[in-house]
Amino acid sequence: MIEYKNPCYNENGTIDVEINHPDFGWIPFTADPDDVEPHGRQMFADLKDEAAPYVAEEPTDGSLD
Amino acid sequence: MADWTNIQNANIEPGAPALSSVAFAFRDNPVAIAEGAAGAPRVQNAAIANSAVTTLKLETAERMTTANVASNTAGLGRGAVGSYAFLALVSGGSSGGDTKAGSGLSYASATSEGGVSSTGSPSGTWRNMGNTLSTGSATVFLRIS
Repeated sequence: MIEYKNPCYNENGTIDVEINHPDFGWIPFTADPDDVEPHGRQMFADLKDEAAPYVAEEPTDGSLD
Repeated sequence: MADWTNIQNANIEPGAPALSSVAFAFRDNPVAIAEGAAGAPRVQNAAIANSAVTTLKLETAERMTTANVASNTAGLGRGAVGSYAFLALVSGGSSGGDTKAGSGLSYASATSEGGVSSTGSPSGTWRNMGNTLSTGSATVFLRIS
């Protein structure tokens, strides 16, 4: 399996992860169970149990003290 | 097709009887290698001189011709690696050439009012093939992984 780090669910229910691509080096990747590419579906299956849960960003009120 | 025969040391050591079966193996084994017979050693990459394999040695469908490249490109589905898509930036910024995870993008269309509407995030990794983007704006991306 390709080298990866920081798998984490996103708000869409897919998994964002960094992968060490053989041609492009470390790049962001979204692993999706419905990907048209088999490697994307496989990556989701491999990471679904270890990916960190999704944490929504705290809303900001736009005011600064 | 010639068969591959393993020649035992005992059959070729000094004093071993000259057997017809061994002579056949000496004759047929090189043919078996050339034909890729079961059990025969395969020709390895290092045995082939650089640039020795020319296009005409490939199956017609495997040749890097304009027609084949165009046909294979046309065969790419939406969202496939190597395909282009008009995508909007969900959040943050992106410069031309940047790579983005699919979750940070959304399939987009230009509206008749001159704006951009988008829905549904792609999978994988995409390269910004256009110019600098801000949130909600869109350009052409290429899926690279």
